[in-house]
Amino acid sequence: MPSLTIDGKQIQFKEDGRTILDVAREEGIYIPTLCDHPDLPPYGGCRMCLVEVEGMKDFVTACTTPAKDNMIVNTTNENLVKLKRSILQLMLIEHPSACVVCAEWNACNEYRSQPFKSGLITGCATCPNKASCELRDVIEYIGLDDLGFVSRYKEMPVEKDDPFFDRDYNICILCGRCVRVCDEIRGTGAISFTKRGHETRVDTAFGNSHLDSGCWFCGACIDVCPTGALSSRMMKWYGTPDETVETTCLLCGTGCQIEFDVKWDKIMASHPGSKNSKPNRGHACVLGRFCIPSLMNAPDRLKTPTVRRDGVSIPVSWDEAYERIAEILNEAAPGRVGFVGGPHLTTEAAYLLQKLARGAIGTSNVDFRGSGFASLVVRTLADTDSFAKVGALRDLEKADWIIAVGGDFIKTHQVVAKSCYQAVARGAPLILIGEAGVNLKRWATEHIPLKAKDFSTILSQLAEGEEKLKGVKKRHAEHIKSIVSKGNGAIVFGSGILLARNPGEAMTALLKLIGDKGRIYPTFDYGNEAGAMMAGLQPDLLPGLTSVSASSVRGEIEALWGKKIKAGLSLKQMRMAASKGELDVLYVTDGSLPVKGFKKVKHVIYQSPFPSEWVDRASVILPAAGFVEDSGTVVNMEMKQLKLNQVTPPIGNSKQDWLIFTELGRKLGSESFKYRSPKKVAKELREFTKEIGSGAIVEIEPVRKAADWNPVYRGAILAERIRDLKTFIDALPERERPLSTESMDDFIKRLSEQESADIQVKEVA
Amino acid sequence: MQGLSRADLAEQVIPSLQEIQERLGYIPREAITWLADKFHLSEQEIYGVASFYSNFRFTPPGKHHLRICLGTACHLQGGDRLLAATSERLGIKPGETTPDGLYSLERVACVGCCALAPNIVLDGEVFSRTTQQSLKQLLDSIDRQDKGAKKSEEGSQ
Amino acid sequence: MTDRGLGKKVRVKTIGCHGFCKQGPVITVEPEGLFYCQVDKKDINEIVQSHLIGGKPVERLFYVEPATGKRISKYKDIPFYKGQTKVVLCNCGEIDPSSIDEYIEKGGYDGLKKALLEMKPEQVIDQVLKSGLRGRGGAGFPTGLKWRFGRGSKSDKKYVVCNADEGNPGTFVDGAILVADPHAVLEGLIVAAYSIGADEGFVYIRHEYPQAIESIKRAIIDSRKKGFLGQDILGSGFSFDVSIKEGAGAFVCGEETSLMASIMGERGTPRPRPPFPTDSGLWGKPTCINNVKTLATIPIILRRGVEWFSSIGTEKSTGTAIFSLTGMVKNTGLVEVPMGTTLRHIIFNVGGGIKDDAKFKAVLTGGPSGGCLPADKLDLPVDYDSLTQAGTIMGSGGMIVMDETTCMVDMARFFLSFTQAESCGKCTPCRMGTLEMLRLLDKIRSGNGEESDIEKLQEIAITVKEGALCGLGQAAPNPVLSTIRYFRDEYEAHIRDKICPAEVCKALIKYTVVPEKCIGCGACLQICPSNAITGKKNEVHVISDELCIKCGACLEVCPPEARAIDKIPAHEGAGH
Repeated sequence: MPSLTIDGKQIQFKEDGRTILDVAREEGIYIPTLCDHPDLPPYGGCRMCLVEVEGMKDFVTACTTPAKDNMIVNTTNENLVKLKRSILQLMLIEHPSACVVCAEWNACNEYRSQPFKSGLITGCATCPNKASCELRDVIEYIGLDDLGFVSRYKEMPVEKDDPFFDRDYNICILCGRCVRVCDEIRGTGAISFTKRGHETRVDTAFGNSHLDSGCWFCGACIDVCPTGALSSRMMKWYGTPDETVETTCLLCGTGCQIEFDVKWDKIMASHPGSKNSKPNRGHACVLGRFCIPSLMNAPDRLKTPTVRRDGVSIPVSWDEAYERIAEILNEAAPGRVGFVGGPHLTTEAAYLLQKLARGAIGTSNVDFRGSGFASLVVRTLADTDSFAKVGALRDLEKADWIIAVGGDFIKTHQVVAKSCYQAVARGAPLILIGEAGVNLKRWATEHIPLKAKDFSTILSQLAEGEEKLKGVKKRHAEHIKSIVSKGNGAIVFGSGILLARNPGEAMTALLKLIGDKGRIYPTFDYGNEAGAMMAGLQPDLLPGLTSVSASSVRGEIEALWGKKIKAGLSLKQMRMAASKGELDVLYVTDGSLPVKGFKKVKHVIYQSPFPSEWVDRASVILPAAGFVEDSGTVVNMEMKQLKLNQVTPPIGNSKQDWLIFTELGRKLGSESFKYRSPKKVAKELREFTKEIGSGAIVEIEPVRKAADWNPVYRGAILAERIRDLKTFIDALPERERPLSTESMDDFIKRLSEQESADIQVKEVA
Repeated sequence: MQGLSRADLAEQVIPSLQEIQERLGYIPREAITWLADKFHLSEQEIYGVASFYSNFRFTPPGKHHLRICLGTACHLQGGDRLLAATSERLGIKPGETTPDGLYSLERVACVGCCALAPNIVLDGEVFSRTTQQSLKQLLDSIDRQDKGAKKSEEGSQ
Repeated sequence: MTDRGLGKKVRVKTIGCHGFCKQGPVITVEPEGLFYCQVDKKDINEIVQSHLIGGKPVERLFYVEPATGKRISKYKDIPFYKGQTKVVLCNCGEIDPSSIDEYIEKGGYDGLKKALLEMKPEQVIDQVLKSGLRGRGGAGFPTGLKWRFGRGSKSDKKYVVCNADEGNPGTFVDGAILVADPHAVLEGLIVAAYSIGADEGFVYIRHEYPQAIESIKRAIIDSRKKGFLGQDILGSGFSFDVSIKEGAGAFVCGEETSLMASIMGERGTPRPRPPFPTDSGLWGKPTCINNVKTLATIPIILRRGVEWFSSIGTEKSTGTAIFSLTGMVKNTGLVEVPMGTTLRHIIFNVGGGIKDDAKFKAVLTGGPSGGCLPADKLDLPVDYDSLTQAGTIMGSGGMIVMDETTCMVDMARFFLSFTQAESCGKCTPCRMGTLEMLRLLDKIRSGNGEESDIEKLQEIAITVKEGALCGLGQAAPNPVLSTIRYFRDEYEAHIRDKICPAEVCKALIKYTVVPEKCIGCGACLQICPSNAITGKKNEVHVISDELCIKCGACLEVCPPEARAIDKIPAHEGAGH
């Protein structure tokens, strides 16, 4: 094995292009860096990692120099340290923070991540400082104690007009991490270096706002910024968190691991979890990065159970609420009771809800809103036994070609988009079918602008290898077909395929097309759609995706739960029944479900963390915990089981869904509801999912309206609750301009005419 | 632009900017948007490239575009003094355009006629061995021309 | 011509740069080798009538040797040419650059034929290696070695690039060669491509060189027609083609890695090496980048042999050095001398000495990345190693001569302001270091300098030199370091005495009218752009210090018989 020496220490390493810095880091030898970031390709700009290598003429950057056998590296050479000190002094000209020479340096160090406090104590008003300032770390390591040069304040206004974060480029050291992560990792290019030399700055084109520049507010730039130049507005002032906990985000189906800063039993801030946490590996989207604390700490969270008496909702104890629910449910005929779960429930809670319906009440009227896409995907996969075809985001990054259809997942699933871009950046062709936003169009090497209803047609044509492709010229069709005939492909698809003339056909074609030569990536819009399906939150499916009509399994369950089971009403059917006055009780756990059609229902039981229009009609309201207050498991779009860790205790008097269902089940007299933790529920559920049975494919009725991106969580429409998010979502339609089709000649002609017209107007005036 | 790789497209950015500037005299905002569309890049990426290179300007040049060479040889022989005098005469700093849109002034690193220094470039034509006197005469003659042109225009109306 | 019946007897052709720019425009008459200089339009008739028809050369247009006042008719006898050894420039000014046939007539593309048809790529590389040719772009890396690396890199695709981004202010060698002898460069590029195994090439050329762009464009088209470019060149099975990329105004793009970024349509910022371009260059493929002069040398080496070539110059620096000689020297122009020639020979024999026979003060080689050498270094041989040792570099061919009217502090500041403005901003030492140095130099120039500033300057200079990412930054402090090294007294004069000895630094001088000499002609009053001069006709004029912008226009127009305008140190009282 090759070996090198760093500061006299001999180190063995694998010679695979890894750099001196990589080797040093693995060995725990600290070489200061500022522009280097593990996620990003080496840059070599800050010069802090310069080292001396024997036999080389000049000092070299450790971040870019590949480690070679027998290298002798010195990081502490006197000249080298002197040089670095001098470079650091030059850098501090651009970082006019008095930090280094501040008399309060030590005091500030102590309260370092608490600028609010350190501000009070030390009078510091220059730095929005984050929990870690890497520049300070380097200053301390180098041992710099004087500035050397007069700092120069660039007098650029702090940019506060855009949502979510502030930018103070006066203290930017131009390490370029933000630009590189935005461009090379996220593929957004919302910021760039502009101008050059000492006038270089990080900016948008013509100083546009970030809303206009195409920024998706994923926050990746903030996460990599080594100074306080970029800071999240939300997390600026709360001080050191008591603890940080990582859990799964349930705001979409990606299943990102998000880390929460907790203080005083509240979540104060969220940021992407560890680099090693799958599937997002240190990345997040605007929702996960900025929206969760506001959502979870919303002042109007439901905190106490209430029961409606004489038309007025009265706070009651949990027991009283359960009593009232038992009363309502026992009064009604089981067939006239409906249960609406949600993709935001954990798999365990979803399982318990359907068990409550089937085992305690005796009805299969269970469904959840927006189950169409999940239903189509999960059932087809179960039916064809092709769960293995669902890929992990890691595989997507390595795909050799990609088809994107039925969704603008750069908007809805930013982390999936990031993985997708990684493949595109590597040179994988991206075939975009249907309309999508400007970013996806930018990445696409082939764009087939078909109407959604033709998705099934073109997917079938591709799957069958037909000569003609709908909406594609012949020469081009050849090209596209040659791309998809290669191996290691990826099909990323979203709920837009429900708009196809025949969604089932589209789904089957898609599976056939990918065959054994790649993976599919269904982008579920809500948290735990697949998990809810598997838990049996469907009128015709038992836990483990077994059809209700499969008599052997059904028999076993009937024996176990003591009630007869037959197929129940779907959500649509429940609504029809309700409108005819044939539904007496509705148990709703998803506030985003429209009330329309359910007005004749006698009793509504509403269980959610947030108020909604159901609150006014509910006989009983149960305050549920949010997902950060819950534990259990969920299944994400990769069909992987992910853990939900409880981050904070349930707010006020609220309780976790699984606990509510357990206690309610017992109240209803069902002895088997004696779970003490979600783990016990999971264990029971596992019995059903051991062998995944077959559910008959249901024809999915096409939805004829494309849904706008309107992220919700259990009845809370996020944009309504988070002002910054609303600003952002309102700005999105501006970006959906059609791509220019005019030639350069036409374009210049148009501009020239416009200009001469302007001049004439001026002269007349 | 289907079928072209991202690298193929990116390669076209600078030549396209050059062509646009050649034809319009500058790079208008719309052009950045247009190019971003064409080359599947963000506006920032195009602007970042364009603002890096000193040849690209983002404001319309004056009717007469005066560039004064400040290469070494020209500097030695008084190029910066020519610039100071012209800047004073036109009332603008290098990189600016006079309010009436008649002149724009720019410094240029070297036009490659060092042996004939100092050089200035007026509307694409190089004038060598420039003196304060000859520069003044040149600008005076242009002023006269413009005035004459305007008069004859008025006369014809 | 045809009107006068000379159509068949005389052939008129346009030629590229003849080298002696100072005397331009020039006309040469062959085969006699007669040389008319500073020809005007109206002289043409006389040349045709008297010389071509009458057989009597027009003596008044011959070159006048300043020293003796004698007219010299043949350019071979003019000291400017006599002192040179034209190797690479042998075609420049001889052939019509737009005619590929003339190039071929002179043995052009013979080297290519030899390489392609008789030699293996490795053999070509061996020859180049043996010739001792070093990169003429400035760093002096052995060309053969670079090619060997390029050859050695395994890849399905390779590129060659001709670096014609000659951004050094005061340098015009590459531009002149491309205008005067484009095929030589092209031939060199094709040989380079053959040697490393590339099938695609670029000529990266400054946008500011429209003539050179036209010239090389035409050369590419012509050589495609003749089959020197394209598929299966000369039946050898080797295919190669070239396209042109125009720079967009960034000096740093002369640096290999920046140049590649620029070709790929990115911001022209450099990246650290390794990986070297010969391993991973354009679009990640092995790329070999050579300077115009390097490539133009290749055909001659192949044509005339390695022994012949390496006999020119010194042991470690073979061949010739080409300079654009400018500044305060009598004969400005393009100069080619064998490596190892002394500075004195170039400046005083070829260059004819200092303008107006003033005193030589310093010479700068290598443009803004080079250093200034004082009079006692005049006998230094010009080769890569000697120059580096003396604190300057060979660079890409700029040679600027300075006399006593040049202020070295101003000079250092000028070059630094150039590199500072051209700094790409990627690495901290160059971005901030050059700016800080510039501020210090400005401080000194404005008379506010302190004793410690010189040491501070040196300190930052060393930080930038050792810490910067690319050649631009690493060499940026050279002018400052070398002027401090050789002309420290001038810095001290600025700082201690608040005097600019060369009377250049604006803040330290002022213009004043000597009342006894002023004839009140009003010339200065008229030209003054800032209306700083007042005075009635025929009366003594006065310059207002407040309004004066020190452009020196008044001094220039003051009639020689009066010479009434004077430059004096700024702090000298108004009581003149």
